[in-house]
Amino acid sequence: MKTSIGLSDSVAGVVQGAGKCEQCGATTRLGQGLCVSCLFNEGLGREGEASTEVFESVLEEANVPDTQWRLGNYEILEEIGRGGMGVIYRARQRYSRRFVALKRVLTYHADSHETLARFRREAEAAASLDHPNILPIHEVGEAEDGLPFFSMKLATGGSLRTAAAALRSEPRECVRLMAKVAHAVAYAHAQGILHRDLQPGNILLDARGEPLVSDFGLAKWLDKESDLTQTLTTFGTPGYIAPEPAEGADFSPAADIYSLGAILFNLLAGRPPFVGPNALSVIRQAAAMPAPKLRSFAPSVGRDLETIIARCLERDPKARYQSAAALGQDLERWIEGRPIIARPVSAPARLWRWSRRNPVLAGAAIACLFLTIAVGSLLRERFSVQPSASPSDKSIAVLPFENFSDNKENSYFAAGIQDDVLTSLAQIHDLKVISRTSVMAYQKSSGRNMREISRALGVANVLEGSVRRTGNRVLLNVQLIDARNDRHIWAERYDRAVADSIGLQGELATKIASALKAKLAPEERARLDARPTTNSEAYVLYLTALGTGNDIEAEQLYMQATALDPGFALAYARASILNSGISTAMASDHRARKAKARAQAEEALRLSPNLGEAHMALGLCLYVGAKKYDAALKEFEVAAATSPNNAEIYIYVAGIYRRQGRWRESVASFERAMSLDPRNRGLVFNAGNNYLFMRDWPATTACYNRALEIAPDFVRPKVGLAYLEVFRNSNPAAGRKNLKNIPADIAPPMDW
Amino acid sequence: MVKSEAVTGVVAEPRVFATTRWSLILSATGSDADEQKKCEALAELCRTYWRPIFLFVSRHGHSIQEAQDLTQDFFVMILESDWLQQADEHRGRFRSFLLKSLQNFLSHAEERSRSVKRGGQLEFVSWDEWLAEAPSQLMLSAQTIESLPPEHLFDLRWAATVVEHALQRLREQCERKGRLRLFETLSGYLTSERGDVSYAGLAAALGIAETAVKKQLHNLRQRFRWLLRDEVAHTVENPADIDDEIRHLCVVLAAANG
Repeated sequence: MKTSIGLSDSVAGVVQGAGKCEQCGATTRLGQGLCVSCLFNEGLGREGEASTEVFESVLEEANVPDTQWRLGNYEILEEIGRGGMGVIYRARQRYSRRFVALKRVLTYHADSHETLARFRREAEAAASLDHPNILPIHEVGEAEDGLPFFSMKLATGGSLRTAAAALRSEPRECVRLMAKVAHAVAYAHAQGILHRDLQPGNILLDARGEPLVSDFGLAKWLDKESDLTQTLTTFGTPGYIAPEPAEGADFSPAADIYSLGAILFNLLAGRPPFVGPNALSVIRQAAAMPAPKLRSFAPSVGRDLETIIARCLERDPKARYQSAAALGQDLERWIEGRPIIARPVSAPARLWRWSRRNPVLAGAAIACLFLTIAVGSLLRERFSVQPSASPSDKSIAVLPFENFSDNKENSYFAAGIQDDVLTSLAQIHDLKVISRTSVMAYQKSSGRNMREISRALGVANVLEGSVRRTGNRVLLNVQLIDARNDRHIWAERYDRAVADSIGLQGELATKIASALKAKLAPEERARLDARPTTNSEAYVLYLTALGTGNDIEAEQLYMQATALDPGFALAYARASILNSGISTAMASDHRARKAKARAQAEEALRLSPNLGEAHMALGLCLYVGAKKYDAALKEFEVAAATSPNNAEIYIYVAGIYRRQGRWRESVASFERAMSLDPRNRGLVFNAGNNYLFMRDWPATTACYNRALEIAPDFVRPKVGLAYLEVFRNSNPAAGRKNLKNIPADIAPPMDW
Repeated sequence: MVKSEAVTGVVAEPRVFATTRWSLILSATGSDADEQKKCEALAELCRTYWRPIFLFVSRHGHSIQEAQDLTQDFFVMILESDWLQQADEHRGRFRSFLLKSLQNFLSHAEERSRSVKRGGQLEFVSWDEWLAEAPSQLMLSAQTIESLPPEHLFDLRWAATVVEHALQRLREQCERKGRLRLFETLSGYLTSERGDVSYAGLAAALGIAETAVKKQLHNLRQRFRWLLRDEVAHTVENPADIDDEIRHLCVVLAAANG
């Protein structure tokens, strides 16, 4: 049987009624609906048999040669796969002559109009998916016999099933492919479409070997035969279905995530996690015992990959990755050699495990932490709200620039330029600019899906760029894209000596504002024109500090910059902001840091009394150091006036209002911050805490869930949801259960 | 289940069976070339009927890995040993001889495992290929799988394999003659009672006359019957046993569904 584009022979789509034979009442059926008993009885029939010659001559009498076989506007060329309910052909569109794959329901399933109508609706929904790694559906049509069919791209590279043997020796390639598949599935989930039958045969490959996920949401129609709990294929490839839908639970994104893990397991181990003589046995194993360790079949595969797959194959759906995107990201981290999120055991994880073993003690400790960590995390996390349905034309996200420079220091430099441009744009009142934390998730510039980014961040436009620094020269390429339709608006190339690049960020911001038709007030224009320093070495240090991501190192770099240019107010202000942050992070030198922060803030203000960052720095000193909340609020007000798009400011303000018991103002400020920084998990979690204290249970739940959607491994909202059970439902048992559902091997992030 | 259509003038020919696989395998030893043919015929039968064997082994309480290894070992044993030389009352039918041998094999498997470490060193054919190349469309209820004695389950799976193989061949023959579409449109009605078939609908779908549809469906049924009996014929030594074998399997199927 040819299965390169084959329909599923797994049981995942097997649903509905045991299907007794109408004639003999037997339940032993073939996928096509034929009854094995009746077929066998045919062997005893008295109608006689047709010899080869007779059979063929009668066959030829029927004037229905396959060469004249048409469905709608397609000529059927050959069958390339089949499943329980459907069949798939290679076909040619009559006028365009393009080759397509054409899938249709087999005639004898045309018994129910309702079924066909639903099949058609599903096909139409699947056809609306537009993603580079989802097999495009060209047309949903109806043949002369009234049966629906749909045509799609003909994937000529086979499928992961046919490619599996060759891929096995290339784990990186397997992971690369599955990361793409995971993101494609995440995209479909975001459109509300579940796949329900992910398995190697459904992941096709195009001519270049890139994956194309096929059959979104269609499996259940293509393989409808019977209820899994009642009727099972005695041999199929059921190793990819999650245990819970097989046991009757609703299908959820988590079940698709399980399948993704099982497929990767199969690619690396040469077999799915569970195998058995029949679907029932496979599903029972999957439900009853933990998935086998990948490395027991593929010892050469690293532990991290084993951990990622184990996470997908958790029996409890809640213990899996909370989204296919999170899985995709972890796979990318693995490829890039960065630490994965699903790491097994680390010190905080051990603490976490301890707390699960000692729930009473830990409960008390958590209750304390719950309140005290809030401010610290506010400072360390720049913080989300559901993006609005249609983003304003004047909204923009500055994505991480690609670094084409040769060393690490220069990569910080590239990141610094991006941050600098972002900060400059954030000063324009007429624009909405997404904050840094939210754009940092889009590190990789290859394969960015602009429409998806537009939706996730709630912006219309995206700025992309690349930086090459060689010696004393900087080459910067930037392009402005309307992300809603992937249309290029404007692009520019700058090739300058480093010394001449000072002020480039303001120049760029002005051009972007003009391209987006954003109004620039005279004082805004003046601020953008101002150069933060005139010393090119100090400026390089400043950009490197912006890009480094390590607060302590960055603070030192800013101070080195001020040593070179003592008039560098912005560097003082940034150093101060960092010191305030570090002082709240349980640093041993917190007192010294606070003092330093204050001195730096004051120096910045002395040098540049109207500098927004300097007011923000002083506001922070007053907030976390002196605890003079009203004075701090005044400083933040000035800062916000010069940098209206800086989410950080609104986060601090929300924190102060909370301390002052001004809950509504606090929530309003959190909401404003979330609109600018929608993918900041700490922010969303903290907003959830506000709602918790305000007893707004639905809003609390929404925030915690959203934080988990952004960061599936974020422990705190999980603990928060457990609290919610206690506070909202007075159900400590459910709370305890929630806590127990947190996987023991999770590595809580540093802000736990 | 006996149909009474008389729409064609096709006369059923008296069947002349060529030497079937099982009879070939059991024939007296001849030349090396004959031996080679026998071996190929046996391997072909094993390749067709591995599912009932694997299901039986699994149903015997072995883990999946053990069942895979044992199935492989069993095939190696029957292909390489003097298995066929055993005088046995079940020899006339491949199915019952195989089942008997399998039961024997399993009862001694434990002893052997103490002395020889199994591990699938010798693979008859790779599981991956089996799984990928021959997906089965059979569906059974969970209750059937669990409640039937392993021997009945073996026969049930056997019967389904015969039917699936015959259908597959029918499909291929239609495809070879450029009539795949005809097969696809009509094969769902192979067992339907005449009154249950909407000939008008099928005629419209195919663009041929209703009488032509009837004739073609009749032809497909007759050919299917020929192929089904041919499948069974390959597993019995004596053509006279074909009907008995079919009846036996019909009874098994009826019992499974009762």
